[in-house]
Amino acid sequence: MTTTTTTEDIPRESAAPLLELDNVSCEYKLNGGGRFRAVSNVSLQLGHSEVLGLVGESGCGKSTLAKLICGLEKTAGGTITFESHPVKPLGLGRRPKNLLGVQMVFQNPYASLNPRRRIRDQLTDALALDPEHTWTVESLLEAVDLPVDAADRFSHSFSGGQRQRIAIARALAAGPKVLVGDEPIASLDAFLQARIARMMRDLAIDSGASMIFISHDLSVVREIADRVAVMEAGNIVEVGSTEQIWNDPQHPYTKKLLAAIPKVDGKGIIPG
Amino acid sequence: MSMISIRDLSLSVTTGKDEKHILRNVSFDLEAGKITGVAGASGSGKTQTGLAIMGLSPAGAQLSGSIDFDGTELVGMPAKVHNRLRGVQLSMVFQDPASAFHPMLTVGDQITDHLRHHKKVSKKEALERAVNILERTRVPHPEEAIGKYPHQFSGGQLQRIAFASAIICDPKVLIADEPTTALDVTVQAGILRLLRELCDDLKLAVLLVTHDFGVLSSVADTIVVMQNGVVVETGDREPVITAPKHEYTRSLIESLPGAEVSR
Amino acid sequence: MSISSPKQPPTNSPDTDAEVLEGNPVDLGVKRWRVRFPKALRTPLGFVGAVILAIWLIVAIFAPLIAPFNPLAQDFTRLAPPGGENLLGTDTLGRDVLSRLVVSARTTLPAAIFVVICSSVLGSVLGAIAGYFGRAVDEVIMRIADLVFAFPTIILAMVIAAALGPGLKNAIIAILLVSWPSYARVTRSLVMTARNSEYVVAGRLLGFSAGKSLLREISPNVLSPVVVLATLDVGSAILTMAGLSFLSLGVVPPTPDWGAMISEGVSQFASWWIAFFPGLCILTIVMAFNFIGDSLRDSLDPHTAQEVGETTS
Repeated sequence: MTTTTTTEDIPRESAAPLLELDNVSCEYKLNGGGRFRAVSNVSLQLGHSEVLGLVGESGCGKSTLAKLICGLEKTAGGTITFESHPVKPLGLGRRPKNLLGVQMVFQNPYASLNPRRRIRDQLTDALALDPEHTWTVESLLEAVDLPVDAADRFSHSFSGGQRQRIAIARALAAGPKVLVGDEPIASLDAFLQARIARMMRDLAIDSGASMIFISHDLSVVREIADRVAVMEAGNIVEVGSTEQIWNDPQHPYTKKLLAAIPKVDGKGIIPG
Repeated sequence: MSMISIRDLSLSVTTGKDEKHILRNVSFDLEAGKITGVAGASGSGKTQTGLAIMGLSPAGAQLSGSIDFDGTELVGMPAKVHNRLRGVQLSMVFQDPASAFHPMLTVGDQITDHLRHHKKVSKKEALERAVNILERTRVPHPEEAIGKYPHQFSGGQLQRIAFASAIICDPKVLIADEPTTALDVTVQAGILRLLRELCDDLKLAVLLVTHDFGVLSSVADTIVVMQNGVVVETGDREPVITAPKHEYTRSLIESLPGAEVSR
Repeated sequence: MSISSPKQPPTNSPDTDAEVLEGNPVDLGVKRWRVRFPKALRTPLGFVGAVILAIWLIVAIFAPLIAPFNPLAQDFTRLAPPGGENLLGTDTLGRDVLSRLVVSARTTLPAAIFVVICSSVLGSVLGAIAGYFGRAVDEVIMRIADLVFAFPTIILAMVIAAALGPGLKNAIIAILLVSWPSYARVTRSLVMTARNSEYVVAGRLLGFSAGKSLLREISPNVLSPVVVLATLDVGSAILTMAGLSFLSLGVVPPTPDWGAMISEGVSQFASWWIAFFPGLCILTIVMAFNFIGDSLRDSLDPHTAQEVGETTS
């Protein structure tokens, strides 16, 4: 099972997938003149109300894939479709209305909020997108376990974990159909990671959205994902249900990743 | 006898009118040949404990209590004397290997700089020593590596080079501040194995600062858990992880993804 | 701000604070702008600058009341030394130097401030456009800016002023034309950095147009360095204007102007007071703006600001 994906485990609903990547590639120009293929012939599908974990080590192309899905990067081949609309790269113009259902939570909580604008203003911008008015600033903050008076402050008075929750609230406010988390927990304390990840899953699923959760940490992904895709050097090497990936990994790379996770058993055994 | 014995160490910083207590009555020991893991959330003071041993507490910080290093008192030691220990007897490895090196100097220069400064050896001798040490920390092709620049290495290799730099003067104490946090999980195991080996072979007293109980469970011999500048629990690895006594330790371990804990 | 933050080496260590499992936000209780702006002038030098500037503004506003004599009247003994009836002496035409100094504050100060406001607005708008849109737009704007940069400021201003003819209006245009590129360059680099930051990208994902993204997301983060630069620039605008007047390219005689007065005094070497006092005026006011600019910069600088704002343990 190499490079391309199998199609046997398409999510439950028979309808067309919410988001579909078909043979997508992405290349960067290198300074020396060569080309670096960051993502190579990736095919993936995301169903409705589904959490897909995307796992791989740094430099494997998982962040590039997230950018491609949001239209922040140009494809070098293949197509991405969201609700049957092709995802076009975001130029200088306004993002097309029919693609606004894809929102992203970024890795660095210290860079993803505007330091000079109040939290309320930043959330209000996002709320304006949701025609159904599901949320208010207050209900959003409550949903991410922050006090309501947080709205009138600036991002610098919050810790990393709190900022990330605000960033999640902003992404949710737009009423997304697909929430893309690009390593949203990587820069948080280990003790916070699982909590924030679970919060993202619950909020996304409860609001009827699907989520692509990108992480290098298989153990957290296992907690929250329905399916897992494993990525290595620009290729998806294995896709399967979380249980299957965890208990019965097929690809040697997946096995290697799993074996490297240290167990918290106090036995003093170094993994791998 | 302990290599380092910390007793009632307190650290506070005064800015303007506020006095902020960063460490309060911290006490624990580092033994030669053992890895002492300090766990806690960010802001718990675990990094500051390591920096206090190195004599790198923030400017204007007030230290009290005692850090006994092999019979020498480190608290209140004049900076000049501390400088002579740092890099020689006391060494440190940081979290992000990419920013721990000067980008414009060769690796060979950087890992031998303190050796030449403290031990007054010739450049040729120092570089020979560097090759040996890089071999020791399993950096591939050490002879070529000493002529290369930091950007030519991966994160894991750079961290190995950082360990080489830390042990080149035969230190007695090694402080490793989140040495694997910035690395991929598959690389992490190799670094942890290296840390374990160096500690066992060189009889180093290692202070391993981390927020990752997976790391502690793999290599630490004793574990110190800190919360808001206070040590809440100290003990051997296995009992602390499998049967934590303090509520806070328990909550930290339980907050980890269930999959990691084998019950 | 009230939070005590030890200067610890910047680690990448993720979260600040002990919010781990409970999670109440760190209360700083203060808002950025409200606290920092007046505080900026509370540093010793900033305070001195503010006081000097305030004095000059009062002098400029009440010039007719303060000036002891008519600045244009040639009523007195020529080249009378300071002291006596004319406190700061008289010039070659027998005019009172003090009165001329006081009145010329009315032309110089507003003109300098006006020129700086215009050039900072022009420069930062062009720079923001260049930085945000990049490519061809960027090339065109920045190459023009480079063209201006290629000449020493005062020489280019001289050439432009000479081509337009003498007069305050033309001097202002000349200074405007030579001083916008520095704002363009600063703003461009700030916008280029901000444009790729995650909060701006997040805004784009929410469907912001380029204009909205520039105005709402980017401009608040770019504004303070530009304000600092502009404050520092008032001093140099005054100097350039004085230089142009000195070369008879600025304010047309007999209107009093510091630069023109210095130029007049240069030929009267024995009568040192004619050039000395206007020089002193220029010195104090340039210093005042530099002090204010410096302390503004220190308090708005993202690095120092972050140190204050962050709550590192």
